[in-house]
Amino acid sequence: MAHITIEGLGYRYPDAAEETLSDVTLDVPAGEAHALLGASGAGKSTMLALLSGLLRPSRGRVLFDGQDVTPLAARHRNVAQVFQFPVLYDGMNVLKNLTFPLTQRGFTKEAALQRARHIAERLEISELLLRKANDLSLFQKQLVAVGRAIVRPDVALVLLDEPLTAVQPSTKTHLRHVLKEVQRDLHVTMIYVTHDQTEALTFATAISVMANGGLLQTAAAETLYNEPAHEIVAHFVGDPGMNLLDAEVRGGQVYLGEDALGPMSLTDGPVRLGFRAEWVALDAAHGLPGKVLRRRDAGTRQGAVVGVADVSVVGQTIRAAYHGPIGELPRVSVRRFVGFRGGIRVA
Amino acid sequence: MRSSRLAPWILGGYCLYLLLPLYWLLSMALRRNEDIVGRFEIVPAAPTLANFAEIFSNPVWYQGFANSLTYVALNTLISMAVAIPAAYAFSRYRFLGDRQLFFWLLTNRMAPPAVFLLPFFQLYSSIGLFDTPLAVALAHCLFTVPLAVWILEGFMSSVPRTVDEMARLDGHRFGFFFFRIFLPIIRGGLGVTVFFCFMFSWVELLLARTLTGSETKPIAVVMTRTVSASGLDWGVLAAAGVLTVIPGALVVWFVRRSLVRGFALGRV
Repeated sequence: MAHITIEGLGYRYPDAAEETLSDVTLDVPAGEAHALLGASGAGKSTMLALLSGLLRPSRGRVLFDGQDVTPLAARHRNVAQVFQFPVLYDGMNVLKNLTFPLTQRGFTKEAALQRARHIAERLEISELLLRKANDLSLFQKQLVAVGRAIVRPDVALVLLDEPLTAVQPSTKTHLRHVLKEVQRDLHVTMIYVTHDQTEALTFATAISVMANGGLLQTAAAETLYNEPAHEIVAHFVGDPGMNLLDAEVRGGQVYLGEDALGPMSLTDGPVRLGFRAEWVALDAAHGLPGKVLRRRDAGTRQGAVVGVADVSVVGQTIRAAYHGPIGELPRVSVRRFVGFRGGIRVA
Repeated sequence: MRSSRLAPWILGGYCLYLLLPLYWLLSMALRRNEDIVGRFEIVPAAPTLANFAEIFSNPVWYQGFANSLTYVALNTLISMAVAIPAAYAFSRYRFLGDRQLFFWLLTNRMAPPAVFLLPFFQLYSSIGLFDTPLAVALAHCLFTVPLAVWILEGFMSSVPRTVDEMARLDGHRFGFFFFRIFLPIIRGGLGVTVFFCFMFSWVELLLARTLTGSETKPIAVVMTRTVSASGLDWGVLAAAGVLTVIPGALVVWFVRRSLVRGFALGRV
């Protein structure tokens, strides 16, 4: 359980022209459940490989508890990883798979057995201990892989690389729950890589959003949702993502076309306006003229959006919380909004 | 309905067809020369083990078996020792010209072994390797090493790279990972490869005959030289034939499970 510090980390693959990962700085306190959220190709897996030591960074440093581990090879870092598809040593039974990392590190046989049984109990796989690894279902295998990762009591950091990809949807929730519980009880520093925001939001206390090899924002789920630091975060987090419209600031007021929406303390000029579907009010009394085009039921989500409609307003389509019929001509007003310039939130 | 009643007969007939020569060999090995040439018997009327006794007591015969087994074992050992690291490199690393080299390995197999007879003979004679088991083993390696690399690469590539990565994260040295984790995972593939190296070397006659003299005559050669003044010694020849089948059959028995996998991989 180490405190992880990443300073100005950059990585360029040998034949690549540009850096896959550039200038990433991040701080993960000991015992934190941290998520790296991003679309595929954002640099998440490269980041994991740099943390585990499978790759050497081109620039920057990685520190575990203040100690620089950048020059250390993977096997000296004491990091464990759960891969996308469960990796176990086939041919060994589950118990052997769990004790193997321990006995190889100088644990006595009894101590290793005791620890393995304790972890198995914790993950509710005690009855699988004597089964062969290749006979297990994918879900069970992944549970054992998680067990392998946390079985070393002194493990500095556990990395999870999209661990739920191979698992059936019906058991995903269960495995996520087990992971979260184990993480909390054993105070293991975990970094969880995913492109699924539901997974990230439910697992982690802090989430880092990555895109194009850079870190855009690190914050708690609520902050990411309400105060995204970057346009990409606004668009990526939440279902539906934020509405993003081109608007203009004139004299402290933000205008959508010719209509003023509300005050915004920015210098005059174009601005990218962002607002959540549930920050929009559709009623006949005042606001901009709009038309309801489509409606879909999005289910309950963050902020409890139940019905979402596509609404046409001054030539653009936005998404708004809505339960009424299609084709209505309501007035649209936005209660709250944020503004981006050059991708960065400025208001 | 009709086809299902016919099927066992077709299958049975085919098995009979396959086993008949083998059975005839065995039956000949159990009869005396006079009975073999004298009359037609389906079941030996007076079975005898004299032919086998002759082989186990005559040094020309059992020396032949020993010679063959020596160079076959040597060949299998060298092939595996060379092919395992090579196949691992092909499966795990990218290097300049790796694809081309991998295919080039097979080009040796595109020429009949006879092509290499003359160069081998001349080369070995001039460096004093002629008429040693090592000469035959090395000559056979030219064919078995590419084959072994080709087969092993398939098995190794079917092991996900993440296994290597996990072993590194677990803190294992490369040597430990390779011998204690990786090779046990592909032990089926190792079995198949051993089988193919063994079989190639065991049944190959041309190179083995040319590169050996009186000292290291292989069994197959001994068998072709049993014409004596009293004519052909049918019974002993048949007994030697039976004994020749046994090592191959034993190896097949031990690797039969992985053999199916090897064939399924399409590399064999």
